[in-house]
Amino acid sequence: MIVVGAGGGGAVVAKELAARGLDVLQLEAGPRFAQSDKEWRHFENEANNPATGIFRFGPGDRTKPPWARDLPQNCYVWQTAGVGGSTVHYFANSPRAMPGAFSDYTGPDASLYDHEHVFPFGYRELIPYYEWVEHTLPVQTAAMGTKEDVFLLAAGKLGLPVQTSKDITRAAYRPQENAILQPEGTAGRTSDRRRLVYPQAKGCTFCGHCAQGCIEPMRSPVNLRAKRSTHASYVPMALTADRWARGKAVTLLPDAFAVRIETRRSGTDLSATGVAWRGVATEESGFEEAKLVVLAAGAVETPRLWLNSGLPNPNGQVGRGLTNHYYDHVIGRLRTRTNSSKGPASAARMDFPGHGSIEQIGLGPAQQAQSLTDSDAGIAGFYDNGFGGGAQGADAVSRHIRNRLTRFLADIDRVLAAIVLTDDDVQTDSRVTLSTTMKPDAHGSVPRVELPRRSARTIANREFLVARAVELLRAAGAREVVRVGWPPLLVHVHSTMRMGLADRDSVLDENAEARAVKRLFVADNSALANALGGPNPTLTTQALATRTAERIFTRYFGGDPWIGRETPVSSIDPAVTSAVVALG
Amino acid sequence: MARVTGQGFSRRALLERAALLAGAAVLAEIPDALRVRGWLEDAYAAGPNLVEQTINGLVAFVVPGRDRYSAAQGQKSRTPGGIEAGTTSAMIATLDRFLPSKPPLSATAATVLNQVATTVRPAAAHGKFASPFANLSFADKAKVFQTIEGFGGAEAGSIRFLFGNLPDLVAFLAYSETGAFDRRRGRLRRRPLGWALTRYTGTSDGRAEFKGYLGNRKTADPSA
Repeated sequence: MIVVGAGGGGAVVAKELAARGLDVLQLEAGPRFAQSDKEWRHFENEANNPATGIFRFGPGDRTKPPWARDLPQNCYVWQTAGVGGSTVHYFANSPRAMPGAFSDYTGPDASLYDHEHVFPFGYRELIPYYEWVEHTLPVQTAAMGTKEDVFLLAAGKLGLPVQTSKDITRAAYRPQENAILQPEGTAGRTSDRRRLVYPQAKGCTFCGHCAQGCIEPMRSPVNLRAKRSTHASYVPMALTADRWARGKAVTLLPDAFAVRIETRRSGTDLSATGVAWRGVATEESGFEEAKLVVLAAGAVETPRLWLNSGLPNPNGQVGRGLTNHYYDHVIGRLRTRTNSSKGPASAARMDFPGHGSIEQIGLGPAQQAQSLTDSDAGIAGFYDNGFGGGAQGADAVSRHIRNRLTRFLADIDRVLAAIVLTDDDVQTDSRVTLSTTMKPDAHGSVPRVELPRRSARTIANREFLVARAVELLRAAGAREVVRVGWPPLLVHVHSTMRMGLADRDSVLDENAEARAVKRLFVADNSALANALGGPNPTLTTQALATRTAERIFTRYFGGDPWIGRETPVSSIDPAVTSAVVALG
Repeated sequence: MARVTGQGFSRRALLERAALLAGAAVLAEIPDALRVRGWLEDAYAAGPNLVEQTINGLVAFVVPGRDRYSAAQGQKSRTPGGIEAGTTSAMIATLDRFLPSKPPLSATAATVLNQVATTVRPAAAHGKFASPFANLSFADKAKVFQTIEGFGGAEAGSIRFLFGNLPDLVAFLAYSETGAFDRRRGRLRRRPLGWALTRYTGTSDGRAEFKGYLGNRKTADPSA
């Protein structure tokens, strides 16, 4: 079988089925990052420049331009091509979805969710898959630094309770459940790099460079890196599945851009039969037949590949229904230290069922400056672009440039920032199509991402959350609080190939198999039915991908289910470490 | 506010159309029909000096410093700003790498900024700098962005994307290491200005920042 994409979801399917002994070929358009400890850097521009950064959406050869997208509105796309996908720059926050996003939810607040686009199965059904992934990554309770201390103390002042369970059961605050190894030894206890070498240091060293890729602790085997991107967790397991399990190692082909899904018709059924790809560096064409294909190229590229392949789209839903949590950024300036630039990027949160979530976020100076200036709300005192949102108690809503920008950044470690993750509605006109204005590139027509006006519920949710974020920052002692009014930020991008209850409004059935093409599954964020109620999507995508792998194995390969019957092997298990070290 | 020309179109409408075409050129790599448009010719003709001056004017707008572009807009800073941080060349390089095109994306951006600048303040065409945008006051630069961000119609999307991202890209670069980074050697030549301005302690492999666990709880309850 072939898996297209080695990011947050594809790596999970590949590892799970490789561990069952299947012959898995995994294609990845971006680079391998085989020597990540030498290739990745803590510097923000080196890592995150959208045109030249290591973590851009483009080829591994950084002298060449990134791959183009047609983006007909003010927006910013933050995706990485390469083994690990966007999990190489993600913050590793791994909350479970809100139960209200699923078909079995009957709570008193059920009407608050996007109930027309729920998951086609119940929340309880997903819990064993969550537990499997949480053990594999592993997901742990976040350790706190100064900024988390300040954030959580302020959340308590708002009268919210602490959430102590994995499940989100009520409006509450908590340290993140995140895929970052807790600090051990000297980690988090020194800035002396001579003492931050594995195994003297284990887990998170509080370096403050999550967005630049995690290469800590120094000299640790890749599967023991603190942040559990799939580059550090699922991919090493997939590549060594013959060693730590009685499986078969995945064949990983980086720099291979999938350009077409091949199909064959038998009677009334159309089935996937293989994948054609283009060597990004070699420009050679390749093709491999397969019994089954899993698409996991991301919520923009998966529908692009589908459409470029000319696959059927009988209900017109391919690419539609894009959700992205309609982020916003609220930031406060404090007299006291927060050490905002240090430690994990985001290790504390508040959840508001029916509305969404708020995360504490710490960044380096360049990304914090970008966060303060990326706005759809004009410049305070001059114009507002007709921005519909209110201040919600903040001192200004604006693209913060000039004096306010320099004032907020006068001490990076005395600011406290909160990101709003809105539970946004699935809207059919928010979508990915093929561009008709840009020339096709070497991989076919380029994707066009359109994000028109939001629903009233989405806007109301965002305003609600911004108001809570402002309250929190005031409670934390901020002497000045501003809202930025972000334009769409495409980091959490979901539901463009959504699974659903009905044929008419979804691409995938409840097994994540395409309704229109048999033996073709989707295992990235695009398979999600909705925006999950607001929580970060990666864990749910990974749980769903695990469930999808199990369905593939039982339905098409005659295997038995394993979730709930077997004990998962952690990606930090000594057997995996030995296998990774032996592989070299 | 809008003036009607002899052809019956308001100047603003023409302005929007020309800007749209310039933006479309970025996206579609210059349809032949655009070659006759004055703005496109301007973009082709925009030499490195004009582009650099215009981007200097943009950088001073977002992160003012003690430079002459900041002085010209009437908004200086007591501390060095984006121009002193080496943002301008990094901005031009980023734009031109982001979407290679003819004319270069930086020249297209500069042309649109300058053309709109002359409508906001016609006298800006004859100032200290060859770039009309760089000759504007801070308030007039804000009007330029207000005008561009207000372009309507589905066709204006590419313009909104490009100009929506210009200020935050400037801010990102100004506070990054880029002006002090030696890419060939993979290390800093000096401490980046953006780090000094923000009192950033710099990159590190670790910090003594671990404070413990909330309520000393190291694990969550597995299920509610």
